[in-house]
Amino acid sequence: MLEFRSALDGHLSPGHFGAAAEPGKLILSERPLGALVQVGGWRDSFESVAAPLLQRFGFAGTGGFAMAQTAGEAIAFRTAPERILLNFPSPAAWEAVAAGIDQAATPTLDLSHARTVVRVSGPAAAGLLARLLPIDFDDAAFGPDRFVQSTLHSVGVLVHRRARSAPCVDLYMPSSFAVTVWEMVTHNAASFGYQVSGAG
Amino acid sequence: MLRFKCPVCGLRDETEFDYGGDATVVRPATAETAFEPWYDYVFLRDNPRGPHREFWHHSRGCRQWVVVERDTLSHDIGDVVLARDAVKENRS
Amino acid sequence: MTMQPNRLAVGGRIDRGTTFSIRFNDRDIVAHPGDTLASALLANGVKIVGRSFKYHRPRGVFSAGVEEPNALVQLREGARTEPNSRATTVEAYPGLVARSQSGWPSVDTDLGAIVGAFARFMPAGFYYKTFIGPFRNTRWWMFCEHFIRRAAGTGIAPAAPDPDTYEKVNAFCDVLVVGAGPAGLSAALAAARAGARVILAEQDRDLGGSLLDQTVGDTWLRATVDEVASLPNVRILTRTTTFGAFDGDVYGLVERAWDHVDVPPPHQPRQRYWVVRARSAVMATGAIERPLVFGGNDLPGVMSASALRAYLNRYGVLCGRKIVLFTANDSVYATAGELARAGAAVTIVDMRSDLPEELRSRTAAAKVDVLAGFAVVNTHGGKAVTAVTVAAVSGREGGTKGPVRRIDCDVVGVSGGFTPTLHLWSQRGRKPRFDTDKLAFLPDGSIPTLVCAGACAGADTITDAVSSGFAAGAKAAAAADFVGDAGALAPPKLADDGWQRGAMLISAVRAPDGEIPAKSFFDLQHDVKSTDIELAHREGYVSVEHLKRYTTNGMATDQGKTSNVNALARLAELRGSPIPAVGTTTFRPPYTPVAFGAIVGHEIGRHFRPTRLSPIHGWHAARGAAFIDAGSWSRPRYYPVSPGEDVQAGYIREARHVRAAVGLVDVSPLGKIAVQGPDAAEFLDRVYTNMFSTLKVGRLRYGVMLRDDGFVFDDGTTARLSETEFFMSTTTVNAGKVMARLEFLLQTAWSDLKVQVTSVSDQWATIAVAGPKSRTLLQATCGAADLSAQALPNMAFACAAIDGVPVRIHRMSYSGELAFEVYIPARYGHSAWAELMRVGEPFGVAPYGTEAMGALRIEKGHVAGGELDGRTTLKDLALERFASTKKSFAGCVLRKRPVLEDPTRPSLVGLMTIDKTVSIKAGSLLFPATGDIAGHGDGHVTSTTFSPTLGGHIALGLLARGPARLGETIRCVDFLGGTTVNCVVTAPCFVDPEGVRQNA
Ligand SMILES: [Zn+2]
Repeated sequence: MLEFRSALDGHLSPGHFGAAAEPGKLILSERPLGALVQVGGWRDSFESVAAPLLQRFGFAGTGGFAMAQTAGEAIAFRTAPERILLNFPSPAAWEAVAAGIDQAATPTLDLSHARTVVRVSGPAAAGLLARLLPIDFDDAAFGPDRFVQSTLHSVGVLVHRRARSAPCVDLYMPSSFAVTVWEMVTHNAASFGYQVSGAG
Repeated sequence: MLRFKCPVCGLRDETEFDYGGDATVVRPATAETAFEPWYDYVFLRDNPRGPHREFWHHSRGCRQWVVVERDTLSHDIGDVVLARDAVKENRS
Repeated sequence: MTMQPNRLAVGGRIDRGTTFSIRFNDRDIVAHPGDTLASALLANGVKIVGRSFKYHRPRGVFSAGVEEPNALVQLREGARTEPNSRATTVEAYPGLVARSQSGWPSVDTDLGAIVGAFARFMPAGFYYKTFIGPFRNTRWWMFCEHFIRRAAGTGIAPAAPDPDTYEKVNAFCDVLVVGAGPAGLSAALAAARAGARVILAEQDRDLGGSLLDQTVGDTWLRATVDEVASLPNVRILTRTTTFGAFDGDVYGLVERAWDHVDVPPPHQPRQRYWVVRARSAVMATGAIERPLVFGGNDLPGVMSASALRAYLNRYGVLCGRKIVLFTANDSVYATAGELARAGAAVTIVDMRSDLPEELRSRTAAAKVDVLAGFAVVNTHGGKAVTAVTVAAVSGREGGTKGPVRRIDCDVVGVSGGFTPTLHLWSQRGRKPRFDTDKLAFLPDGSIPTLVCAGACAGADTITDAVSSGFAAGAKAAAAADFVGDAGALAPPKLADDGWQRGAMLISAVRAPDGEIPAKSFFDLQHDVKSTDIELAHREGYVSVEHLKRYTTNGMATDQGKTSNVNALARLAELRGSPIPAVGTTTFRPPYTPVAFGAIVGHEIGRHFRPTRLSPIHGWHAARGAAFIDAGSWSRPRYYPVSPGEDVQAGYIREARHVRAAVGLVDVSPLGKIAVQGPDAAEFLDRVYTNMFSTLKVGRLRYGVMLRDDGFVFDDGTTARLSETEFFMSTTTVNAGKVMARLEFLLQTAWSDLKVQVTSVSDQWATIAVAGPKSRTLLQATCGAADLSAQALPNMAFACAAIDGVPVRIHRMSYSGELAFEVYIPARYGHSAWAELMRVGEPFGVAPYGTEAMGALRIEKGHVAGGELDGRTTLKDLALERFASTKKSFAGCVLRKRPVLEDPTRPSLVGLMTIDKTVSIKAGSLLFPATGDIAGHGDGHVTSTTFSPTLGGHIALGLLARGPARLGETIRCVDFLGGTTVNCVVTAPCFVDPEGVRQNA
């Protein structure tokens, strides 16, 4: 089997960088993406055909544009009126539920390689994100499960606040931009002091 | 900086959007073969002082095209709606 | 350490316990923590801090704040040097180095002033006359610029890259409060108590505003600051200037986080640019004291009266021993008493003759002399003021009558009233109204989300500032839907002299002879005198905006903070109109200068724009590829085989190798779009000129898109994956534009089509395998798949696997060779490439870059960026056969416009040099073999290369009536390089026009 290689391969070296800081203040890592699949559909039928499909995957329904849904380890983002982005922990997990989807009614599209995920966690996460995106990352505005699609260094990214008590945010970025975005993230993180860890 | 309330994403900075031109012109039907309607659609624009409607593309957000009411004098932003709700092809 | 002759033994907010040294013009200056550069200079008795812009007159510190027009210094040295730094706002720190920006050989002895030649070059209207008048289009400006830049004190830009970092921060709040004086503090408190999320931004190091310049009110200040700071919903930003107010209630702030040290601590930014989105805002920006204009009002020692108070009470500096305070309002009376108590002999020259008894009794008690009904007409002194001439006020505003009296003094404090600081409000596109009662321009309530409070809204006492600030804070919070109970706030207890009572506004003092003295300066930084304004008026510049530009009054880095109102009062006088009829100029951001570094933050150098990298980038880098920026991508240009191999040798070698054996090129940057849905075929029929609904599943088709105006937009190859799904490719450069256009059509006019488009550019790595041995290589790599010509004809695709990873192989050729494009899920792209290289070794596989790819496609006559320049039609590019006549498509009507059908339009040809050793420059114009070389010729060269196959230089070009001119000799003229190359016109396809090789 060919070697699987992240766009960030060779760019993350574990250790502490930038200003001196207490451990855990700001941790950057790459999160393995697993499977990322887009489910689309048509205006007149989307709610009626996509909602049962999402329920089959364990979600409540098609969901809203602000809050991600989780079902076990799977996550669903309603990214546009007739568009849902599904993140499964592995291609196998997706394949296990993918059979029998009516492609004419709800076309699916594999985007597992198209995005790379950088995880930002620790109490300084909101401060770092404020330096990167034009979004209000205050706890009141961007609490657990909240997600936005916005721009980081002119690149469209999806930002997801994980449902954890400690601040933990995943940045989904187009893989071809992953290195440039990573460098932008680390440049802005230096004034806080940050730790690069091997796994999210 | 202009800020638009995207019907999908909420209030966002102009930097997430791309300008897409005058939203008051109506695209002729694809089957339209006469010059005049196409000429009007492609080349003729009013330049109003005051309220205007424009296309903006939420290209670094939900990727929806929206129609924005903008006052060209004050930059006041009025309604923002999804383009698909605001525009219909001229199928006459 | 030297003495500080003007530093008082007690008083002020400086730390006398700590002493350090700073250097100004190579002289050691003693300073304390809490000093500014200006306060340290004044404490040390430094009078002259610079020379004026035009006349090289000596100038001293005028103010104690951001409005400073004189004391502009070159701060720090080397790469960290910063010109136009206001000494009045630069915090003193150990080791600070600053110099005057003007004056040669020194500010104390400036030869420019003696020669005086320079000023004659620059009367009012100099710039207008240079650029618009008789000197336009001459080299006059270039001649003058040299002298102006050298002679005028405009500072020096650093020559080396800035070693410090800057950062940009996005912030959101319910209420932004600009200014933390009495009004701003009160507003922040009210808004925060109501529950709003508040940002309080103060340009100073300390909170307090004008209270910092007073000796009373500290108890109130401390209590208020403590409460504001204790609230969790308040973020206090000090050393932070709100420099811009923009649409959408967005504000630009610059925080000088580490400007008060020489070198910021490791990893800390020197400055931070805050972009604040505020639901509402309070502008509590205060007011700036307006000077009075009189003869010699620019001499060192002439200062703003409020600055004297600030230096005394905040910095413990007594600026003079014999002080004249020249005023027309109440505000200087408290200052006079304080200066007298500190040991100065003080005389108030007040233009008002009927003073309130209360003021008279206070001045008597403080042993301050008062000359009521008098005006300062002139100053005396060479390098600093030594005396003033005063005369009785008479007749019309500003007039005086004899006899004159002379009063010896070493400082003149002036107060002509106050100018509310309206910049931010004005930046929102509003015009202030002139209040004839307060004699000032004031904001109105026309911006619901920007509430003005305190002195900038016309409050002329601290008591009023506190109450208006508190009310404004509550109002702004309510505008952001916070209506909690804010309680009440008592103002500080202090004697409160306003600036409004009995105020008068005169443009300039006239001598008893009725004339305004020649050296009466309006704009100190730009050396604008009354005579300049008179000249502008005489030459017909009656609009205040024209006056500003013609005289440059208010156009210096201080933006006329002290000069604008007096200048327009003078214009009003000349026009015989009231000030409201003359109006005021428009303020634009920034309020005070902002470093470029702060605006760009980390987006500098390599990160000026984002860079896209292919999934195979790491392999190319390890192989030592030379990269080139292609749009936003960094791509291998060629792979040098030895360190000395240049790009020319490299691409010729690589291209030759492809035609002889097999090569790999990384084409991952191609745009890729998934088109899904029941109406996908219909959609493609509408956007492409040719038919896609007839394309069979498993097949590829080349397609061309037009813009609605009929010009060619983009081209690419599309695969039909199923009845309802297509895989479209676009050119690299147009990928984003094509995607946006497809979305636009589907979400507007064609929203009835059931089609979804999604960019999959990042999902796939794409490797083009080209050359006669390409099939052999792929077959060896993919094993099981049947890639034979029968199973996989040209323009078809097959699914296969490389080492267990599913891939799709498109058989298509850009080079004209037998070729394939292999689509691999991106994270396997790097190892798939490595595998192809490994398996291909026996076949002599070699990588090739964009340069060789370009050479091969030019040999084959394929159009690309040079030809698809947005000005070419299907006909121009010999692609007319792709225009279906059986259906309508975008652009099909307007492409038939007569001008686009003109048979003489330049159209695609090949060009081959007659002398094989000379090359053609892209962009050269095409001219017939004989005749004049004039005009734009018959067309131009679009793409050029050396052709390894033909052993000579070739090009593609657009030539009028091109196809009819095959065999003709043409001159390619490169006007930039000044060369002419003779070429023969050929068909665009130079190699294998029958397609034998690619169809093998
Ligand atoms: Zn949106």
